Amino acid sequence: MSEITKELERRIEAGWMVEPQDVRRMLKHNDDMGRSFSQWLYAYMDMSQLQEILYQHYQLCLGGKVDLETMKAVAGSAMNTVASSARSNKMEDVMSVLYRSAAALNGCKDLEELADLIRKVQRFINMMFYAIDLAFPWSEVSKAYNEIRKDFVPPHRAGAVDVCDL
Amino acid sequence: MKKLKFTFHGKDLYADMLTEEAPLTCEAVEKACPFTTRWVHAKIVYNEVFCPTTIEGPKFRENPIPNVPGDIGFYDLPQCICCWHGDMKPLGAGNVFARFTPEQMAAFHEETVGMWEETGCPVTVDVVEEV
Repeated sequence: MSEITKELERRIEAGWMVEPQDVRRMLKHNDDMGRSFSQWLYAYMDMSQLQEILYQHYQLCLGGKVDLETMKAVAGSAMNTVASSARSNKMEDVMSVLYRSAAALNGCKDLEELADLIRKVQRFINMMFYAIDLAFPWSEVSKAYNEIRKDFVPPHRAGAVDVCDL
Repeated sequence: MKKLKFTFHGKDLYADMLTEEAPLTCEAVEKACPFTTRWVHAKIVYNEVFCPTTIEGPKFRENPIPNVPGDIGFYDLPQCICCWHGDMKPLGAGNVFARFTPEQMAAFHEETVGMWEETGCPVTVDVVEEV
């Protein structure tokens, strides 16, 4: 097992029942401007999408009918993109892990080794996804949302067709 | 018969494992047990809770049947066990590997119906032989 995969396993275990520090950093970011909800939402979307994308990459590698260099490129691109977002969200550990994992992809000798590394990263992001989910006050926010939307009437656009009419 | 056991709120709750319908999934779940995780509300389906796992299960849906109350499914993505309980409308067909009896589901529902407010409740998952 490589150093990065060992680190990923340690981080998965460390964040399993105890909230990772990155979540606290993210939640506090932009709090003074009253925009921390936006931070949470973007972090949630990033983790959700990345773990799904990486799972597809993992499956493709397991299938064995893809090009090694192409898979390194697409997986690395996905990781680097979310690493950049993680920097914006102040999730410094996620940023560091993703950048280093993307670099480590280049050292994979075959699809099996690549699949193993991608799976470890995907599981780490999966753990972060759940941690971010658990940090959100879903019930309270839903009540507030329902209150905001209770009198909402969609604006009419000239020429718009209600989908029910089709 | 093998039983899937959930321990939380100071109680043990059981479901029947479907070892004939989903043998690979049952084997993978048992191999990973026991483990401790947290309940998370599924948000969209009214009475569904799931718990993250580190189970390395089949990369396909071994028993993809429309989910009904009492069903318990495993999803390799995102590596979680889902439990549907009480009154609910399913979203689709999950990989069902265990099932509550009506009595077991009633007990489970009583303990989980408040999970929308009580997020992150710790739970220990295990596989045991029926006594």
